[in-house]
Amino acid sequence: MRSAACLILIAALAPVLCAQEGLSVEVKPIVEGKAEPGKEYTLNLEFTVPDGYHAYHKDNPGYSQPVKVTWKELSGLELIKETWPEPKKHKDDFSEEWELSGVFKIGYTFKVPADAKGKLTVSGKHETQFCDENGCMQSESEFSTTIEVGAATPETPPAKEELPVVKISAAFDGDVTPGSDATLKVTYSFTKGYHLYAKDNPGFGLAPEVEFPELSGLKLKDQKWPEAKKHEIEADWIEWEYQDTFTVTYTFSVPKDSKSELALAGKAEVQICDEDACHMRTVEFKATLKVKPAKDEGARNTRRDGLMSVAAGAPLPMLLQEGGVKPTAKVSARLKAPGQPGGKLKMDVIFTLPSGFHAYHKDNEAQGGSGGPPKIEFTELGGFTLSEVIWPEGTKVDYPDSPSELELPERFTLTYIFDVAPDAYGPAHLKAKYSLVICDEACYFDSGEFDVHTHVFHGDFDKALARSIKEDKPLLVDFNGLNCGPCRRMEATVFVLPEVEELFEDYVIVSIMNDINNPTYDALWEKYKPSPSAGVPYYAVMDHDAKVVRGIASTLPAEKRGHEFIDFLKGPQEQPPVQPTVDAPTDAPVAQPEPSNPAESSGWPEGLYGPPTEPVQQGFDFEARFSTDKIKPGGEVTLELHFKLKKNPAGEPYHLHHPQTPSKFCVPLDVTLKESGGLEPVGEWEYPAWTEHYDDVLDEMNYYMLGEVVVVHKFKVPADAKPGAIRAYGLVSGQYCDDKGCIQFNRDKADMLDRKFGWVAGIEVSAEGADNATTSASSTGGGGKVSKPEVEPETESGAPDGIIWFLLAAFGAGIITLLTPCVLPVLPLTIGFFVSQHDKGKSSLLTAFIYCTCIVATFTLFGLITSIALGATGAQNIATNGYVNVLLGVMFLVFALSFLGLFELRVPTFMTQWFNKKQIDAQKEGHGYAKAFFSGAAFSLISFSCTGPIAGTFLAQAATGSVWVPTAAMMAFSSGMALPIFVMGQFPSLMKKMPKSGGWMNAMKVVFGFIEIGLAVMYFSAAEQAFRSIEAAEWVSRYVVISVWAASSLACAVYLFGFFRMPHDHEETKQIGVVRSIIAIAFLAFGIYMVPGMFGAKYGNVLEGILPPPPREGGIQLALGNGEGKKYDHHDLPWNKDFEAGMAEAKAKNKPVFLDFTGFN
Amino acid sequence: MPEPAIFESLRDDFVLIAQYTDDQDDDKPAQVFQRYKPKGGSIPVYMVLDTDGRVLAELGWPADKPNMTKEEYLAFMKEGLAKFRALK
Repeated sequence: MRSAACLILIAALAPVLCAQEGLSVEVKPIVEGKAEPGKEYTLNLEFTVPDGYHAYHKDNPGYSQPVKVTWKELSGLELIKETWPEPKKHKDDFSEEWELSGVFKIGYTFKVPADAKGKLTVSGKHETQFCDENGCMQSESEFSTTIEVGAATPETPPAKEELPVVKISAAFDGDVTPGSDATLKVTYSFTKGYHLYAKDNPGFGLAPEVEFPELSGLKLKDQKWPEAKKHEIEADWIEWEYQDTFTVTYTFSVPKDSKSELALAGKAEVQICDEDACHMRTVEFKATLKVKPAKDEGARNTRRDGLMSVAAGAPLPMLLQEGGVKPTAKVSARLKAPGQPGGKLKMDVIFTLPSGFHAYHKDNEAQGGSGGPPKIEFTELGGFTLSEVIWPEGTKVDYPDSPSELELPERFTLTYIFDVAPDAYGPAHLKAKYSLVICDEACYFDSGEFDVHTHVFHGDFDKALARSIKEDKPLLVDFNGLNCGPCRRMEATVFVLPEVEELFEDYVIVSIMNDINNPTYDALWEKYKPSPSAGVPYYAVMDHDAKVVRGIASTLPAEKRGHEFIDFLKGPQEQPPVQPTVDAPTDAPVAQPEPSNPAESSGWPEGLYGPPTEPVQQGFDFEARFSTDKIKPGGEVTLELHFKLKKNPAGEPYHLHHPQTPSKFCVPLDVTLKESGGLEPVGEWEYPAWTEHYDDVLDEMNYYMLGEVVVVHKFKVPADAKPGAIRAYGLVSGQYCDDKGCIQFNRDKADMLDRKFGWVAGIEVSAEGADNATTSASSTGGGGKVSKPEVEPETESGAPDGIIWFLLAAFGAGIITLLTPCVLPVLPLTIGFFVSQHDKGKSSLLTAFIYCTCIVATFTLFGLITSIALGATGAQNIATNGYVNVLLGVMFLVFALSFLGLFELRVPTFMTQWFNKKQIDAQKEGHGYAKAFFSGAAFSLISFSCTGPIAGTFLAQAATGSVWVPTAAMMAFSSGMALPIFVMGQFPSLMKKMPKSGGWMNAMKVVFGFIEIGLAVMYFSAAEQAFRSIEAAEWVSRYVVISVWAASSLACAVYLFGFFRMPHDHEETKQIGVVRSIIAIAFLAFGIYMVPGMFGAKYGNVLEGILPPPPREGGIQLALGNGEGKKYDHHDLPWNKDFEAGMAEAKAKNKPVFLDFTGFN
Repeated sequence: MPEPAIFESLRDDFVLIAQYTDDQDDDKPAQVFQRYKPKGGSIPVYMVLDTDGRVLAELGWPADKPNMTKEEYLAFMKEGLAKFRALK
């Protein structure tokens, strides 16, 4: 899986670029309304967490600490309830965290004392841990506010209630168990003489509209309204009215994980009316649902039978439901807090039981229950001593006919606390076996193992520093937090990597934990934190003076942390710069660049970024050299840049991206030449073959270069070159990647925006050298494509995909051809022929196969001949050949006229007759298969007047110089025709499903005719461009093409709508079918769409790829052509076609050169 | 300024070189193009060079702007000429 891996570096930059000062969580008390003596008052605290971070819910099962509010002053208020918002449950393999982010409110409900008056001051403080995926921070602040005590609801005394009054009382029907259904009864009572309306009332009155702003996880399943009185006011006017108290019943499903009490709040918008008027009332109501732990009375006895004490340790019987799968518990252990020497190590053992199951508390048997508790037996203690096990509280469940049991819920945690020896240090393993009994209506025994791998680091900074000096190792300081999920994640996933453990041995490591028991944390963190807003974890390597040498916060996504952390532990690698292969630059006065920067005076040329350093050398070894050491003047030599790609720590190979990669996200390898030292460059950089790799995540194709990648450039040594050493140099940029991510080449992290390194290679020009020594680009990683330097690389890289689509389109066109009037009426005869052959004992499979193969063969042959003929005219590329374009244009025009009904194109009759005769002869002689062959060929020829133009369209598109593309296009096209015939030959009943012949088939021809007109004009435009060698056609310009397109598209739409008929249309269009009108609308839309193009509008990539470019109006051509009566054509200017000749002329005349890079197309 | 000024300036003040970079029979123009690597990389691109082949001014054809104005064109020519004269 490679996430948007190539973008990782950009993401990594973000924290550096936008380090914000002092992130914190803001708290604001929101005072609404007045507190009424003797009643409840709710104060909301509004928390604002910085973007990208989250705080945690009070019931968070993960590592992070929930928001903590402590009250300082309450002025007699008594806190009775907290209302927390629903958290986002963020769960992964490692832990589950209940997150609160952005702005959220926690409601604190107080009981207001009966004697309260005046203003009540409330103050307190919050301590909030907030984290992103990389680290956690702590924020705390104080808040204070005053709440006014008001008279007992003077605003809404019941006496002043306006008539009519609606009251709602709501209550749940009894208690429920999790996973079952709860029934809520909502009773409406209202002033006599008025009425309410029922749900789905057919009259005008509105039924009460009920919402549930608070549901505590309940899900509404159903609602039932009682029958109302059907009040007939007039004929056909009936109102369903409730004229007296009524009750609506709602059914909710109770979530399986719900506990004790669920609060529900409802709000009803009620319309209440009498004969004269209607009034709207908003009524709120509340109800509480009591949830009892799930029980199944009927299964009592089975459960009893299955109960067993695991403590007995004897082989235990297992109860298995018949044919069922044994339910098992998921047991995992994780460290809540890693241990420090002399301190405590806390480990959570988390039990997750199947839904509906429970286990038993350790005190269950003592209190008279029969279920035994889970047992955990440590087989390896890692040098720790178990000191305490903390059990959660059990729930006592009463059973009517057996002793009550102290039970543990579906998910519970046992916390094991170990003492850590004062001299402990290094990696440690804890291993344990567990066994437990889990029950729903029956009981099952389950057992297994778990293990935990941890490290004990020093806890005392000064002692650790002293030891690091004594052992002459650097000090690694691990700043972490007690309730820091990201810290634990690093410890559990990265610290345990074998490579990391090995590197740990080179350090003395001290863990400084942000914990109330560690007073030194604050002082050390204050001193060493990398930025005011930094969070933990933060890892710092310190020297013996306790100065930070380098530090790292885990700023990368989890998958990358391993690499980054290993690189960090390894530290910068002191590598000698790559030496140019020239040993003695002193005797090389030729083209020796002067080092201007003293820092680069070590012989490294100016303007280069220096040799590849640490991050590059993680991914590959680099070497730049010439193909030979010595070369004769006049010889040719190849410069080779070798990238020997390595493997990542997981053993997967790294790769580079080919420069022609179609990827939008990945940075390809780019090599440049800055100085050739007097050598003449020949050609371009040559890159080796690439391997195609489709990236599912980025949804794009990538071109990989793997193994030892050699990029080359040829040079010619000038014949008059003086003997001596020559040095060439340049730059390399790009990124190397594994499947998880990419690392860009960069010399050091401070210089991240210019990620390059330099290359230098030397060669000696000498009479004794080789005459020629050229090599070519290569890679050892295999490759699918050989890349050539292309003038237009886009077309090359897009081609394979394009051809597939093109062939698919040809195939589709073949299927459509079946529906034309030359083919469809013949089909029943053909299929009938297959059937008759079958009746005569011939295999209809074979008959149909021969018939269809013959069709395919005919067309493929046609394609082959055409492309060879085209190739013979020397038209390598039809885009540049005017004659071919004119020919195609004329061809399409002829096709168009034929389709529109001016005449009918036919294959010469002698050909069809010959095949027909052959076919009849074969039949007479009883050669069924031979007849199949000849009738297949005859079919191809007879149908030519319809298929020819369509096939021709594809042939023209495919005529790009290659013989195989048109041939393949014809094969695809004819397969599209033949395949349905073949299938219908096997299943003749399918024939009935074919559309019936009719006038619509002629309509299809006409539609094709209009399309062919559009194609014809396009080729004429291209022909003009090619003949006149101009950039854009001026006579048959873009605007002519667009207006012809618009016109024929609109005409086609009008035709399809039946406004006029063509010569060969026999019947009048009386009724327009759905399909026909949709097609008509499509043409109409396209015609309208093309209109803005006539006024200069641009279209999308697909259309612009087909349309000719606009003439360069307003540019030089138009400007020159508009002289006062005099024609200024830039072709009349004395343009030099030869660059060198032009330069020589400029030197001679001492004039500047005006250089125009242009093109024929 | 009337357009003939452009025509005459081109004719009288410069030595003109046209390089058809998609010439099928001659790959030299493409090499020249690669040597100068104009910004944007698309044609047409106009350049003013000194007698040693150094670029004095460059006018590209940005993809998002189909038509350049003659004012831009003149400004570009003038810039090239001014720099060339300053060199002398």
